[in-house]
Amino acid sequence: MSVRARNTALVAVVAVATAIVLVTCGTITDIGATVGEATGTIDRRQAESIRRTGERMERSFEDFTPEQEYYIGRSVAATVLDHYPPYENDEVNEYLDTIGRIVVLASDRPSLFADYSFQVLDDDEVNAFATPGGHIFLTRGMVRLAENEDELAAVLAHEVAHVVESHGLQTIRTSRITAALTSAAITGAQFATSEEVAELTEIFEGTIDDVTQTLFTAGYSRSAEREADQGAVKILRRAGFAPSALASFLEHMDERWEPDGPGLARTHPSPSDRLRDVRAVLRDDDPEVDPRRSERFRRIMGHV
Amino acid sequence: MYRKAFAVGVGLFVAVAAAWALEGQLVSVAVRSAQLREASGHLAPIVAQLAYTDEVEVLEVRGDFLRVVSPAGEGWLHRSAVSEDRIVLADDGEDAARRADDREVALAGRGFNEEVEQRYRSEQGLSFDGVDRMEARARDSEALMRFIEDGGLRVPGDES
Repeated sequence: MSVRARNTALVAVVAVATAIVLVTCGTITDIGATVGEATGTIDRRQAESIRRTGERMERSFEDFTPEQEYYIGRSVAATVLDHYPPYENDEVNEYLDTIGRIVVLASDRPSLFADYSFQVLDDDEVNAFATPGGHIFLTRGMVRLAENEDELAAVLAHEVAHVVESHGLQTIRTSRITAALTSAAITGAQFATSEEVAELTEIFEGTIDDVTQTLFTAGYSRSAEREADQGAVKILRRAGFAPSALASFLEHMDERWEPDGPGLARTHPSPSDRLRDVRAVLRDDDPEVDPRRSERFRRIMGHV
Repeated sequence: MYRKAFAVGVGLFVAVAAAWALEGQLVSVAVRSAQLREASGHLAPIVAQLAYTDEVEVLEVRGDFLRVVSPAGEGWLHRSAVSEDRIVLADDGEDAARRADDREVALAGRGFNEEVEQRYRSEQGLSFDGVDRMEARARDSEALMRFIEDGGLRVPGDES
């Protein structure tokens, strides 16, 4: 038999064998799970999970309920607070919370499963974080960089815009979302067994890792940052804050920018790039910085 | 010029159609607790409280606010507090597996929930005290209104 004829025969045998297996077992996913289980590369539960996942369509972050977003957010927030201690000063945190609430009411998504919440972190690094559950953090370093209330509102508006646009959830791997949303802990008819909760907790851990990695090291995409800046300008305008405060804040950041530095430099595009895009959407009739706001800012935040 | 007018016309049509489509529809409360308010504003007086998964009927759409009716009463809600997909309790007798496959029904209490958080928390040895504290910060609506007024700010969509 020539080589070509032998190959053709081989292909035919494989095709027939595959067809037989397909008829017997059902789907390709099923075959993978069965072979994996038989060869010992995966255990029974993993095989079951693969079968289940294969039966359903891919899911996206939009399929998470607001309740699930909240629980993801809480664990991300706990991880942030594990890295950066909270700044214990009620007056400062309450002031931040008040500005935050006004910013939230001017956003496109003022209602989350639980309310947005705000906290200053006791760290000199210039940084800010938002979780999918609406927990928003600013470091003392970040607060010190703001020169007035409107600039503080601009930073908060940028973070709130990340939540409104679900940027955090978008960094979770699709395979994990699908696994979470098709797990037996969700689809089982009765309450989840402890085995099912254990399996889901493993997926949850990966989910929290995806989001925190984005917040601490990888950063959002450039387009997500642009979207958050544009969203922030709209929020500031609606609430009566000066949208130009976002530009002036970026200028302060630019003056101190070290491209290889810690904090924001690791996760954000350079302020000068962002400044260009922000200036392009400012208008002549925008609200301006009000001295009454700047005065209360100095009084409360002047010693942070 | 004509193209711009056409685009504006189409945009307006889509907005009106979307608002109209929502009227008469049943929607689910998508937040842990929602306040029904007397008028279409964030700071209008509260007339009733609604809870996660409560079903309400939309009577009217005004901007981003919906006038709704529920057994708890009638009032206004921001549209971000509701979901057009039904949110139901998983264990009310119907088949959860079938519902989980229905993309237009979300199961409350299932998936990433308090039980999963508890397990994650003990596995990681992570403290949630700081998170609980920031979530529980006391808030005063009257103080907020004064703060807004004193600073020359405004709350959009507020008629109150």
